[in-house]
Parts: sequence; C-alpha cells; structure tokens
Amino acid sequence: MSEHGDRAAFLDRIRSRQGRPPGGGPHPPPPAPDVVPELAYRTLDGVDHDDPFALLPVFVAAARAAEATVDVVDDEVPAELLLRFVGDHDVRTAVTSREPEAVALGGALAAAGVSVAPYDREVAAAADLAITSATHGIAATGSVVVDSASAGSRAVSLLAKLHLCVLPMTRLVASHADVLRGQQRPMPSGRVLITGPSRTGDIEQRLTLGAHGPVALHIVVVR
Amino acid sequence: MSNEWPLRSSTLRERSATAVGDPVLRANVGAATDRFRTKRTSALARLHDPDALRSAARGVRGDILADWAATLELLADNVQANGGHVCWAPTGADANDYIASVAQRIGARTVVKSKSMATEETGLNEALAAVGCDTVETDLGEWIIQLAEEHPSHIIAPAMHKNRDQVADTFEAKAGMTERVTEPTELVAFARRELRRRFLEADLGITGANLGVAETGSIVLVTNEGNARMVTSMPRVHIAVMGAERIARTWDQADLVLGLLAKFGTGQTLSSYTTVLSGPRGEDEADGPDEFHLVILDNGRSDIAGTEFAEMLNCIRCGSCLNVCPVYHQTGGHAYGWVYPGPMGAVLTPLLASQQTGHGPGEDHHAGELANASTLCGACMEACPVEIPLQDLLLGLRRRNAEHAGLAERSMWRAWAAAWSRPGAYGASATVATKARRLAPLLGRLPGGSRWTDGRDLPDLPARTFRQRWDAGDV
Amino acid sequence: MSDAPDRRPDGVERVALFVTCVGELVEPDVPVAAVRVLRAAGCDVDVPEGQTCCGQPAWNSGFTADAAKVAGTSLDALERAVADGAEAVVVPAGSCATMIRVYWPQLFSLAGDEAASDRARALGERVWELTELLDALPDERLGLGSVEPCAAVYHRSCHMLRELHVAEQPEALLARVDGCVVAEWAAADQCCGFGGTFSVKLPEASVAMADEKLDVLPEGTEVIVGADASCLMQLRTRAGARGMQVRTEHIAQVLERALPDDRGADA
Ligand code: SF4
Repeated sequence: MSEHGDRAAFLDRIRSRQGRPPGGGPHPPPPAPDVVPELAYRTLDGVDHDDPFALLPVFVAAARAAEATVDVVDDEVPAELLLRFVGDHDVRTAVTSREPEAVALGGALAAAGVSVAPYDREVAAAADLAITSATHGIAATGSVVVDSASAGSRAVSLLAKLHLCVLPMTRLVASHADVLRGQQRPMPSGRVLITGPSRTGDIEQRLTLGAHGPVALHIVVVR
Repeated sequence: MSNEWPLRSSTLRERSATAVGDPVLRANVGAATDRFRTKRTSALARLHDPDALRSAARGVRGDILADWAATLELLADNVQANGGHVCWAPTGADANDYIASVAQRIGARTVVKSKSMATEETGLNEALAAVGCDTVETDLGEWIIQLAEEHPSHIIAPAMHKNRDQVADTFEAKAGMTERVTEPTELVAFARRELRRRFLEADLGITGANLGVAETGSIVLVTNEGNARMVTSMPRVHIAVMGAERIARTWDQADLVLGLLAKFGTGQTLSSYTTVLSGPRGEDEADGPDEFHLVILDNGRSDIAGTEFAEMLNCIRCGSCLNVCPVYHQTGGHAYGWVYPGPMGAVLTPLLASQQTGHGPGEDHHAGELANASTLCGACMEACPVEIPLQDLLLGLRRRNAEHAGLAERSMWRAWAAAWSRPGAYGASATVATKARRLAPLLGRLPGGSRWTDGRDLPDLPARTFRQRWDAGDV
Repeated sequence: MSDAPDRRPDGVERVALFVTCVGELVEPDVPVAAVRVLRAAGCDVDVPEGQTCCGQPAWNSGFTADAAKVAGTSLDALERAVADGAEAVVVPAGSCATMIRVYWPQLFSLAGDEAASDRARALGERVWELTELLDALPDERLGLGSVEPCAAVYHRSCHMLRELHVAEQPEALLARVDGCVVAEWAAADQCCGFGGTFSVKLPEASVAMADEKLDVLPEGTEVIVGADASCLMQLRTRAGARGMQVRTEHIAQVLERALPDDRGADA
C-alpha cells in the first residue's frame, strides 16, 4: 500500500475549480433524488421479490435471453443430466472452484470418466469445462454472481471452454440492486456478475460467443 | 496530446469529407450504429420509465461530482485499506511515467491491456514501448485497430468502421494469419487463440475503470469479451487507469449508473461481465494480481468543473450519443480527429485539449472547431443515460470560439445584426442583392459560394417579400 | 423548461404572426398561407411591424451579442403586439419557435439583459408553433376540405420534435385533409442535415444526411411536407441537384389549399 503523487494538490485543484456552474440554460439539471431509484424491470411486475419460486421463471427466461442455457433440477444434479452435458459438449477435462457444490459436481463428473482437477490456471486454460457455484442468481437479468473469495480464484469461471454454474434456488434475488447495493468492506477481491457467455460484436456487430471466455454458460438451478 | 492524432494536421471539414467519400466506411458505420440503436430500444423496453431513470441518473451524477474531492479521497483511502496502491496523476505524462516505472520495477515484458479510453488519451502505449514493453490490446476491436495502426473510431466498438474482409486483411498482414478466414466466428476464434497466449505470458495488466466506488474502494469493469477479466487475473500486477470523474460515492449510486450503462451502450440488459475488483489477490486465492494500482487521472478534467460545461464530467462513456448522431452516422469517428468522437467528443475534446496544449479556453482552433460537427438536432441529449444537454454545451463552445473568431467572421455577423435590427430597412426596399447579403450567414458565402451549391441547387428567391405582399393587401 | 405551462387556445381570436426571416425573404408563400389558414380558423391576424428574425443564425454560431441585438428587435415588436391584444404569437417554423420559446431567455441573459430575459420568458408562454396551435383549436374552428390527390411524406424537424415536443400535431392536421395521403417514411424523424451554418461548414456531411433521407423515400412520393421551411429548402435543393422529381411543401400551404373555397384568401 502506497500513495504516489500529491494528493493534496490534486484535490485542492478540484476544490478550487468547483463552484456552481452558471445556470440559465434551457435544460437545467434536476436536484439529486433523496433516494437513488432502482431500475424497475417489467419482467418483475407482480413478482414477489422474496419468493424464489416466483423469481425462478423470470431468471430462467432472462438467462436464456442472454444466451445461457439453464436446467432446473429438484435436488441433486441427476447423473443423466451430467452425462448428457458431457456427451453433448465432448467434455474430457474439467476444473472446479473450491465451493462444495462445485466440488461435489466435479466428483460426479470424475465418476463419469471426466478428468477433473482443482483450479490451476494452466490446467484451466486447457480444460473443456469449469464448474463453479454462484453466490447469487439475479432474476431480472439472468445473471449469476461468482466471488473469488468463495470460488478461490478470479478466473476459474473464465478460462475453460465451457462454464457450468450451480445455483441453489434460494440464492435467487430480484435485481442487481440486491447484489450491488449495501456491499461493504471487506470485499472479495473479485466479484463478477456473469450474464451469458463471453461474447463480442466487434466484427460487423455480429454476435459471436466465446471471445476470450467461455463459449457457453450452462446454469443448473437446484430447487 | 500526441501529435500523431489527425486533429492538428487537418481540418474537420477535410476529415469529414474524406469519411463521407468512403462508401464502405459509411456502410459499416451506418449498419453498426443502426444495430446499436435497435438493441438499445429493446433493452430499454424492459424497464419502467427509462426517462425518469435518466433524469435521476443526471441528478445522481451531479450530486457525486458536487462532492468530487471528498469522494476521491474516500476512494483512495479505501483502495489502500484493501491493499492497493494509489497514484494521483495530474497529467497524462504523470500517469504514463508512473505506469512505466512500475513496469520497469517488475521487469515487465508483455503488457496486456483491456480497452481504456483514458490511456488512449495519455498515449500510454508509446510510453510503454519506450521502456521496452510489448503492449498488446486485448479487446478484439482494439486489437484490430492496434494491428492496423489506426485509431479507434467508436468509444465502445473501436473497429466499427471495418468490415470482416478488412479485418481479415489486417490479420493476414499483421497477425500472421496464414489461412484466410472471413466469417466473424472464425476471425474471433483466431483472435482468441493468439491473445490467449499473450494473457498467460503477460506480467502486467492495464485496464481503465468504468467506475470507482468510494465506499468500498472498488473499481468496476464492464466487458463482454472477458478480456478485462483476463487482464485482471493472469498478470502479477494490475494497474487501473481511471478518469478522476468516473466515481460513485455509494453502491446505490453505482447500481443505478451500471444498470443504465449496458442498456444505453450496447443495448444489453447487462454486459456479459460486470466485474467488481477490490484490491489485489485475496489470501488463499489461486490467481489474481499480487499488486493492484489505481491511477487517478485529471488531465484537464478539473478545469471543466465549475464551468458551464461541468455536466460533461457526468459522461459515463456509453457511446449512445455516437449511435444516434446523424453526423457521426455519416462520418464515423475518425473525422473527429482525436480519442473521443461523436457528440461527446465534440464537447470533450475542446475542453480537454485546451489545457493540454497550453491554449486558453477557445484559443485552440483545431479542437474548438469540433463544436461545429453538429446540426444541434438534440438527438444526443435524448439518447444520453445521464441526460447531458450536449446541444447546449456545443452552443457554449461555439460562443467560446466566437470570442476568438477572426475579424472577417466578426464583421460579417456585426453587419448581419445591423441589417436585421433595422426593420425599416427590409421589406419594400429590399432588393435581391441586399436579400442575398442578409442571407449570407444562412447559406454560407452567397453569392458564389460553392459550399452550398456543390451538391445542392440554389433556392429561388421570390419576386416580392412577404412584407411587400402584406402591405399591398395581397395576403 | 421548454414546455410552456398548460395552455388553452380554444378561445383565441387575435394572433400575431412571426413571419421569420426565411418566410420574409425566401419563402413568402409560407407566411401568406399561415395567415390565410389562421383567418379561416377564425383568427384576426396581425403581422406586427418591426419584427425581423429570431436571431438563431448568430446564436447558433456563438455570436450572442449580435443575436441578442436582432432578437431584441423582434422581441420589442412581438411584445407590442401582445400589448395591443394579441392572445397568441404564432410561428410557422419549428426551429424559430424553439429559438423564441426555449433559447431567448438564455440568449438575453448571456447578453447581460436580464430584463429582456424575463420579458422573453413571459412572451414565450404565448408563443405557438403554427400546427401546435391549429391542432389545439377545436376541430370545428378549422374546416379542412380536400386537395388534389398527392402522395406525401412528413418530415419531423428536430427542434419541433425534441424541444417543443410537437410530434403528432402536424400529421393529425394532415389526416384531416382529403387527398393528401401521408405515407410511412422510415427516415421521417432523421435530421435533414441543414443545421444553419452546418450546411456550409461541413457541406459533404450535410448533403450526405439529406441523401440518407431522400434515399428511403417511399416509392412514388410526390411531395415532402414539413413545418420548417429551411429543412424543406435543404431537402428540395438536394433532391433537385440529384434530378429527383419530388417537391416540398410547407404544411401551411397544404392546409391553405385544403381550405373550403369560401374561406381563406378573402376571408
Ligand atoms: S455523453 Fe451521454 S450518451 Fe454520450 S457517451 Fe457520455 S454518457 Fe453516453
């Protein structure tokens, strides 16, 4: 921890310049709202924000709209679902985050013949699949939230070709406000709201998945 | 500012004429901005009352910057409490020097960057080259531009002006692509392979910052490709360069701004990755940088505070105003000559440039004339998530320019004002010649001005003025 | 703000017309048509002496003092008309109406004349863009008949749309005119590219902007109708240079042609 440059001079310069700008223009700014409003998503109309069962269909629709794929399962992730996923995507190697849900799923995959290892960046960079769990699922946007502190890494959800994220349904919240607002120190060093797979539109605005990160995001919601 | 930018070596008209004369560029830019607009419309349709949110966001941004210094101070304290380093950089050179010194200290060879307009502003890549670093841009569009040795033409889609064939040409010529592919998916796959290697070997990662959030000492990065996540988790040092105004005091404020950013920018509900970073790698974490540095860049920003242009500091660099601007639509970004194009660039460039060149406000003609790159149609303010009254700021810049205008222009307007404030002088006595003279400011240097008639007919002037007809009882 | 307070024009009988400089010198048929249409709507129309221009050309170029000098001349004239009993000041041009209503208070204030700024603000409450007023009148006050059949599109000019928020009114009026068929135009609300001095400072971009609109005119369009003569001039002169067979017509002129025979010109 260190500080470089002259903080006082930097801030004094700002303070000395600030004053009320001359008004008189035809589009004057409004006063700041007393309470910063939250974005109100139409998809949440009439949905009880505290009821995960009510949030679930909203989440699933939004995640699919963001090009993620979603399975909803009742309790444990069923073996046939895993096998289908492994087969569909030709998964041979996988890494897991250190969250218990991810580790458990890794064990099941290993039993299905996939070579599974804990996260290591070189291994992950060559892996077909990364498994994490989510600290939250955001219904309005279909996002999953992955923390470096609980996952044990920032990039575990990033490097492999595919990302499979386990989301216990009770962790569903309505909107990003429920995740972002009220955050306090100490913070995890990295926290990411993941909305669909990695993508780019930089060539002719053509949506292309898997720019630098996963080409596919599969979310398994556990009821 | 770097002299390599066309701003100082050409005029706005020359650059815009060149752009308008390039049908491929116009087609590329036109198609891309149209798609952005369509997507924005559908993203906003998911919200209740986006206009109320824009207005609230305007108030919130104003509120944050009313407390600018204190908020920065809190941010800097919390960054350090999180184990990060802070550098106060009054100028671009200060920022570059600091970053170069860190690069040298750690012996950095490969530097990976995720897109950052602030470092375009400071010319960081050249400064790093000077200390022997190989700097690789990793945003796909930005990488294309770097390879092609061009400048970005859009603040969120830097290679918008290029089509797939032009990208393939660049990859063949500059990135060693041996088997030519032109499908976007294949081009992206090629870039992924090439850049993946660079991520893993890099020693230093440099990003911008979409927002610094003071109450937790965090920075937020918003990307779709995941390159910023790579840059902030693979190398052992991460430096974020943040324009000093890109801050929020609280997460309530940040949540509103971030929620609007993706919708107005790329037209997504949220971008693929909204990443919140709070310091270096945590204890017990398997990756992430050992060092985190936040460079807080002024570079002319504080000069904007307290002026009639202060609201420009509210800009969150979403790109929405570019996408709706009918002038940008025709010219693309290069016509603006510097880092920031479109309406926001037409305002920001003159404000930042005069400080950097040592010119007084309004004296820098090259930058100042960007204020003319607008019909004042107002589409930009209508599209801005923080409701910056860009057309009014453009008018303000034109007033500033007028104070430094040449004698010929000043005399012309004085004569115009004299003629048009003597109502008796017009009407019955108006001859065609005096009419034409009064119209001159409207139509350029009539008569004989080819600036109107190249591409347009001259309007016919009627035999009698309205007043003549009225007085004759013919109305 | 740009929106005037809730205004009720139902009973308006005496109006003052602001001719505009373009209307005075380049397109006198437009203010002539405006006068006739207003008369047909039962208004007693005065054209106050002493008015000239709203000052917009100089204002948009940054020459505040010159703009204020010209605008002050027109402010005096329009104020006198109001003092003489005009209930509304009508402007047959969206951008000039915007200049008066939206920008005059700031213009005079920047020119150092706070009194004029206040006067401008007060006057602004009585200022109406032509179609805004006509549409707000009870339908029965303005009988509209038919015109020669024509295939039209309507150009929504920027200031009217975004500053005055006069969006639907012109087309609502045209819908009352038999024979004038207004087609959907994908580029209806795109800027025409005129922008005052913009048109000569960046002529290539300006022309390209006009082209973008003209390129997507619906098949068979005979006339582009608008409420700003300067936008129409830009589109017409560009279309002419391209050899296109499309006319332009100010909405006041279309409405004038639609007036039943016994009204209008000689009313
Ligand atoms: S001025 Fe507004 S619309 Fe333009 S980039 Fe900035 S925030 Fe976005």
